[in-house]
Amino acid sequence: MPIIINLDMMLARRKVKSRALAAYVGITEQNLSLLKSSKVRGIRFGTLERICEYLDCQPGDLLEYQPGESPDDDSDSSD
Amino acid sequence: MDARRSSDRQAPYRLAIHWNLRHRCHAANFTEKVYCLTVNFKYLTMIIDCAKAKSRARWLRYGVLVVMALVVLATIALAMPGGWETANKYVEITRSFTKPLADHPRLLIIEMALESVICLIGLYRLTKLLRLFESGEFFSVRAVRHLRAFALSLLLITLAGCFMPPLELLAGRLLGIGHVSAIALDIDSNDVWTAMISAVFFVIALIMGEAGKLAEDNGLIV
Repeated sequence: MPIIINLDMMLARRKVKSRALAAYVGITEQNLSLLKSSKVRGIRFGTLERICEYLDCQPGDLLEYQPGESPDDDSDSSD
Repeated sequence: MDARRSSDRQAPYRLAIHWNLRHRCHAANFTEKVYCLTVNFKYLTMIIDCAKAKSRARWLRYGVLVVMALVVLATIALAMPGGWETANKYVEITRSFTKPLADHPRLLIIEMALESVICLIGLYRLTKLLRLFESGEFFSVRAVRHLRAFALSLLLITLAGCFMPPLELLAGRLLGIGHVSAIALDIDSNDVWTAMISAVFFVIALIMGEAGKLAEDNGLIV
């Protein structure tokens, strides 16, 4: 998927542990780990809002679009 | 506690106070209290529905198990020597069957036994499906497979009821057993209805499969 989630970077910058963020957002650590590794199909606005609130950042700081990325199984490759 | 002491006119408030287990209610006026009641009622309904579905699945499974036992007992009783006549004395058997086959009890028993076996397999798959429902697996691949098997068994029972008697009579005639003189294909409205019901179950299985995919997709949204 060409959308990259820079959550790891933000966590390191803010010196916040995954466990604390997961507890604040209200998701499991497993799901947060999936989110960090961009292995999710989507993210709810509510989750994004809580993450931004806790890390004091903007959605743009967490999400990044990279056009050259290798497509996943569900994305279509157009040239 | 204050609500308990208040008059009957304030009964809805009392409900709200007792039900706001998940969403704490600090309502000041009547409108807020009604809203609070609605929110909590909605949440409670969700829980009750899920628990109800599981409980109903369990009771339905017990019912299916009883039906399975009855099918086995009835087939055994009718297959016993003179069982058909004895059963007819106490219970009027209204099961319809091809007239030429009625003259050949052995062939009739073979047909009935075959239908009972298909019925038992279908009911067994239904109990497995209900077991999955009890454990909360409503849209899993296994549940869809069990429902499809049950629908197929319904269709097979109908087809067996329609096509087995002429095939048996034909085989009997070819083998010269029982002086078979006529072969008849008997399809009535019940068969058509059963076939349509099985088609409906197939469609439900298809929809459940799609719902399963959606649920899986939803699980990947954090």
